[in-house]
Amino acid sequence: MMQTAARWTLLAIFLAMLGASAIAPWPYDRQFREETAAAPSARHPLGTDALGRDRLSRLLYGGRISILLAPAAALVSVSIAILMACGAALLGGWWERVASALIDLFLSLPWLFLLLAVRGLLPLNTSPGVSLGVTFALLGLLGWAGPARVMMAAAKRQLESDYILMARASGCGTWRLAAAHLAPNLAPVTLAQFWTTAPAFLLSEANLALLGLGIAEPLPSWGSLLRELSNVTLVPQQPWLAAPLVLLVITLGCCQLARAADEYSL
Amino acid sequence: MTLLSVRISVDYPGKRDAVDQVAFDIGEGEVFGLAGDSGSGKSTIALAILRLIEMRGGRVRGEIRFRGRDLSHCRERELRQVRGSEMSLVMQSPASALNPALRLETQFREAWSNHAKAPWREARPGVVALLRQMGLPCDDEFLKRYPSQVSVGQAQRVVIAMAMVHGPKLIIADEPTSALDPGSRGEILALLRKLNLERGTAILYISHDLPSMQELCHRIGVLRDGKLLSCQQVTRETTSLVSVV
Amino acid sequence: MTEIPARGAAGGSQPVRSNTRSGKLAAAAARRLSALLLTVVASVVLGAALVRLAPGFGMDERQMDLRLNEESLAAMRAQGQSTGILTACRDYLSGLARGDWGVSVALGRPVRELMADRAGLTVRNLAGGLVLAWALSLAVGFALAVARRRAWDTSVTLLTGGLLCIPTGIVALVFLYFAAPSAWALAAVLFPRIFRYVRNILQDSARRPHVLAARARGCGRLALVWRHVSVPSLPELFALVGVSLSMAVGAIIPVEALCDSPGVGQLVWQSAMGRDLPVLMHATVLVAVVTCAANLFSDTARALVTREV
Repeated sequence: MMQTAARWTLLAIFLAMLGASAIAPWPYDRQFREETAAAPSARHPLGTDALGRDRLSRLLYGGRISILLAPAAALVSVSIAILMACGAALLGGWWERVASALIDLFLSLPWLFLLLAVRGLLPLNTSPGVSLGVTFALLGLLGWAGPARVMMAAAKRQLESDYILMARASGCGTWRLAAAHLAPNLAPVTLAQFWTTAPAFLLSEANLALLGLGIAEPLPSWGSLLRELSNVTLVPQQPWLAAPLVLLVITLGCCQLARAADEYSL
Repeated sequence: MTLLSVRISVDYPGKRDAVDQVAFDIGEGEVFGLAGDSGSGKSTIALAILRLIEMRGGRVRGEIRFRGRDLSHCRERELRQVRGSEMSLVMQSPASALNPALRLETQFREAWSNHAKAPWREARPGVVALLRQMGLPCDDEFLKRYPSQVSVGQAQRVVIAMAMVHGPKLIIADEPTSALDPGSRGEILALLRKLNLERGTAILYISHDLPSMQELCHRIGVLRDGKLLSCQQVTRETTSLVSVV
Repeated sequence: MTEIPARGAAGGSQPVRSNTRSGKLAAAAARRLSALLLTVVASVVLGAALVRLAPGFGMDERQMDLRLNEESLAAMRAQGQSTGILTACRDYLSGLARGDWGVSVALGRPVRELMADRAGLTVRNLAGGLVLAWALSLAVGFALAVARRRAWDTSVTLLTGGLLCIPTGIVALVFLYFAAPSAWALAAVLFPRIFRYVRNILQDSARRPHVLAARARGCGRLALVWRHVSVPSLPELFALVGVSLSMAVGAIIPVEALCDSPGVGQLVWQSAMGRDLPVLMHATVLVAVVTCAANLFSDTARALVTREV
């Protein structure tokens, strides 16, 4: 029951963010020079930031970016993972050993660190669009190792089962085996990994942005909006600053509840 | 004299009446067999009597009278006093009934200290004698082994020995021979018969193997889909039971 | 008293077995050590490749100086781009062997010095955070397993679930606000994750049949959870130690950066902001070595505990 409520909430947030251009009262980069750092009012329900931009609009547009790109990056990661897992499991032997070693290598470097290092290697004055693409592409290309390990274990387990043996005994070729028999049985694992990875990417983007290495101005994202909280002493006096954090926590919480299983198993 | 009197139903979440109003009695020194296919509720009844079915998510309704006490309304503390000392459990797979990380001696010591105040060194000779009765080696080397270092037949004897440490009145044996090879199977059956004859221990023997039950049991009950179909004395003519199950 | 066999213990009863066993252990350790070396080499290559391919490689501040004329600029550019990836790797490895870790572009000091200065604080932060998080996770996990109350379990799950939704940076900022040590911030970040793993391990262990059998023998609750649930889970818990170190090393960067704690994590962050490539490269290798070594340690410990290789 809680799962259904969580799923409906997620859907509502998703749709609200998608319709950001329709719902948001102002464009995200419009600066109201006379109303910088204003308190909430009818015109600006969440106030304005230091440059006079409407916070609510930035929240909505930023939400659209975060909520579309995190799953997209997760899709990239999970696709790479499933190709590696199936390929390695099916080809077996040396390929499997290499794939395992590669996965271990990627997993031995802490994710955020890798992300930071690579992101830091890029010039900081890139255009917002490029920084956006690069950030989420990096997430997708570096985050495949975790899902790959889980899916490789699942693929190997599947390949040892009797129905695969029967399929091979009736002359089924390797590609057909992969497509018709293996893939459908790996679908639940893949879905679970997607639901784990997408929220993780949302968090990673937030962490990167808090460190100043997120998406370049003036494009908003939930992470970059959280930067305003860096000045912690302001928050008790201006609680509306915490709106992006609250929204992020709710979204991630719903993702957790919507998931069937816990990913914290070794 | 009636040792155990059971009148219970057991529910699981999502499955009401997994065991449906099963009622039977076991007298002192009697071997009562419970036969049925897998899924008929045999193991459920075994765990329910010891009030361990809650660990598997089940709930017991009804009455379990053991030596004049109603176990279905006892608190956990009182139940713990009964388990292992007055009523013991022997499970199907000896390998999984023993803690793989502890030596056999440690596990015996724990079984002892669960219910006795006397220190282990006083009880050890008695336990060693028990091992000899079970047909197990009684040297120190054997006791220092880990469960993975003994054979399956020996492991099952160890489990039975642990069950007998406090001389219980009733042993609930849940398919004790299913995981064994035919040679060990016969040995365990003989061991159980010996315990019953020499010590007067009552046994609730649960199995799907009728021939072995006919050898061992005084009475046999037949379970299907959670219901007790019949209870009969074992005589030459009970070979007709085969057609019922 | 529990018996987790120490390495020599098996020798008492079965001497032949222990010879083969210690031989096997040594072979496994050698395997893992070579895996460690391979990882170091691979991360060096990766680091060098990234640095070499990074846009603006070979460009230094002097090129931005308008006072220099075209000839000098061309000469500098040629010099910078003559190094290929393999050459860069070779130079780097030989430098590493000599003890010369290059010079930080942003801070102008040898990288080795910078790291040495800050390493102490980071190690203290990591150790403090990990110890605190583990102690709390084990205590709460054990308590929940003994108490066996669904309400407590649900509330702790909800609490840790909530903590998991908060970005590491925000947690760091909260602790900064209350002027608490950064080790505590790290512990707050690690605790929900480690606890979830610990809880799952203990719950899986509690479902094993020997636990039911022990309970059927009348085993008390405390002894049950300690001897029959926790002790058999030691292999998995050891494996978790390696994983938790990886998590800690990843989390230390935002924690030190935002809590203003001058450790290696803060250095890495500043290098990323300032595109200080020598520091970043060394930090990558250092991190790879540390995590690999930690995994090697926890793997070996696990092998010793399970008496399997």
